[in-house]
Amino acid sequence: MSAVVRHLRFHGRGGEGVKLASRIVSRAAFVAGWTVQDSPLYGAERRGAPVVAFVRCSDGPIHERGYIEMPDVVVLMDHSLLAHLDAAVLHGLGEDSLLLVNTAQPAEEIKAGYAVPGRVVTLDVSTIALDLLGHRWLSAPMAGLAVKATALAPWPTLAQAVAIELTEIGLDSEFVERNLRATQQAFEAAPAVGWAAAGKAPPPARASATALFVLPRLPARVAAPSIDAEATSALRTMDGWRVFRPVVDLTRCTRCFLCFALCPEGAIQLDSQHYPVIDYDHCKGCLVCVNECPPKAISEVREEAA
Amino acid sequence: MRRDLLTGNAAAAWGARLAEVDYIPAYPITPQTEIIEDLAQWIGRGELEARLVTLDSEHSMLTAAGAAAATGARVFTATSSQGLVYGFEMLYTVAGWRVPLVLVNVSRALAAPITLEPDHNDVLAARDSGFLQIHAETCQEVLDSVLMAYRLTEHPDVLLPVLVNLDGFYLSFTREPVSLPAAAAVREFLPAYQPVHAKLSAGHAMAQGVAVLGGSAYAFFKYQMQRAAEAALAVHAGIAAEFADRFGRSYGVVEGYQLDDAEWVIVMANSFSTVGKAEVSRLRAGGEKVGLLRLRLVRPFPVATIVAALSGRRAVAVIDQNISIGKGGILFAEVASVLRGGSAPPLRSFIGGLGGRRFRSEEFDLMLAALRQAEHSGGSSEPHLLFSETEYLQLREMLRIAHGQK
Repeated sequence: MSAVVRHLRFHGRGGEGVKLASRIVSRAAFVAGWTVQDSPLYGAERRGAPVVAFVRCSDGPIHERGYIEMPDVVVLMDHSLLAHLDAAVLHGLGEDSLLLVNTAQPAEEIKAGYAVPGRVVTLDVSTIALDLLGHRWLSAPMAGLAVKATALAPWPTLAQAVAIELTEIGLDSEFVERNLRATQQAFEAAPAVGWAAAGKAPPPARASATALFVLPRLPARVAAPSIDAEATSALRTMDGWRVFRPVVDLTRCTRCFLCFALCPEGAIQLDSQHYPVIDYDHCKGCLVCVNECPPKAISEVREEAA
Repeated sequence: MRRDLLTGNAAAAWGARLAEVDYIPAYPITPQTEIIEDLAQWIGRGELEARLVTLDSEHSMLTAAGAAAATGARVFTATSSQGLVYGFEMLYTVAGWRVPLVLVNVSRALAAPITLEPDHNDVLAARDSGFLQIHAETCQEVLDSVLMAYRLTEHPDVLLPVLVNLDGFYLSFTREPVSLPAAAAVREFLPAYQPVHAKLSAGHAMAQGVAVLGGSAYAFFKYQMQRAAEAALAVHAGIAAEFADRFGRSYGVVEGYQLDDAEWVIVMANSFSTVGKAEVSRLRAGGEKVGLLRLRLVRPFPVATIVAALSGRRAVAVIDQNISIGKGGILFAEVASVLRGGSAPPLRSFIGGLGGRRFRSEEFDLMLAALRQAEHSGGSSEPHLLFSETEYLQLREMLRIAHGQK
């Protein structure tokens, strides 16, 4: 009898706690007696770029590694990623799988709107985090949603896992306590829907391809890793990256230029009167401008309310 | 002994901690940095009595490592990819000094284009330097190999530095359950280093790596390194047996998986071997007699063991996670060079996993089909570059955007 391996894939954006959420879930399973493996994948991108992480839990050894192609569960930190096809959030989901989404939208809307196969559970984890942590630090409460929905471990085990992981990264005990409260609130609010009956069997030998593809040689003009088209990065909008939107009150602006000078994305221009104009297609919502504005003329507005 | 969840990076750091190293010259590079962060934290908390010094480059870092080893200190250092090749000339230099040290390399593909994910052109570029090389598949093996590497490098018959390789991301940032041996048990297995050759000190001057002209002396010293590397095979066998006896985990110079009755064999190395093993199990479930040979000790190259493991098979595929541009797979060339005569199997070369590219299950089906064909059509050394038509079409689309074509 071979081991049953459960597969969880986490999707989110840099800074949302994707890796830490996966580690808390993995730690909870480990404390509960499972054999586990967790790993993240990301590039050199800045805050806001898509990040993916994986957790495998097994009642025996795990002879697997790397990307999870056919997840039992996808944990989605940020529903805006559903619209980004290259984030491939739904890749490999089937009729038995479970999608857990941090959103205020009802599950039926997500399921219908994005043609999600399988079951969908939604919970507004951002609001829990904002209320109890004062910031959208999602890792621990998202782990609460994932552990409860999959019935991976009981609350005391999860609490232990949160404490271990948050202490390990150097958080003080008061902040760990607040995270525990946020996690418990998510844990209690989430339904326990459980896994599908059986673990995913490894895919059978596939006869679809008949021969190994032979890569052709292309002319060097296109075969080198270079970009000669102009403004390709301008085509890429940061729509959906922001939790908070910086909004300028021009009546208080002293035209000091600091926001324009300090915006790390160059997303603030000056108009003909030297007032700042924010390019919301490319503003990532880092809020450096809000922090730096001397007359406090820039305020932050939660994106969903904006 | 306790069992905890550790990344490959943390396992490497624990190896250095349990080896009770004296000196750690350091320079940060993704995905290696966590190793020195862990060590620095332990030193700061007084849990590890060692000196950690940050240097201005990997070139200086390797120089400092060799120089400190020449004083009789037990030295640990770590790098990755561009860092390893930046310090490249010092690999040859410190190996030539015949001083013992352990260098962990966290494999990451070399630019350009730039990536953070792994392949083995970094570590295999160092294969001719005099550093011995152990390639790890799991986080547990990383920790155990660091401990074994100190025994190997400090052995008087060897005294060549040892490089322990682990893959970026697939081990470096991957957590798995790892058994941490007790410090007292490690101390018995690996007592404090007693230098027998280099022991620079204020009261004992010596010259390292002196100039030689005329060829004869140069050749003599290089040949001595070759002899020491050859001797390392027997030394490793003894260390591995003792390690298995004390800690219950066995490590050969190679590892066989479902190999005994295998008619078709896949040769791989490092962490993607886990993926290969899963594919072997899947093909076995379908009735195919497939096995896997994982190369662990890459320098010295365990010729006799590899010949014995592969001779008489119906056909063998070598999957290289590296590419020697203009030739193909480096390990394929190495394996092919030792197999000859009537019992040598037909060989096929595949390149895969470059920059962390994922293997596809169907590729293993098709590689097996290629081996069946090879049994009848004989040898071929041309590498097959694993890539799917779907990936190719996606790349063409990206290229179209990059070049502003409508």
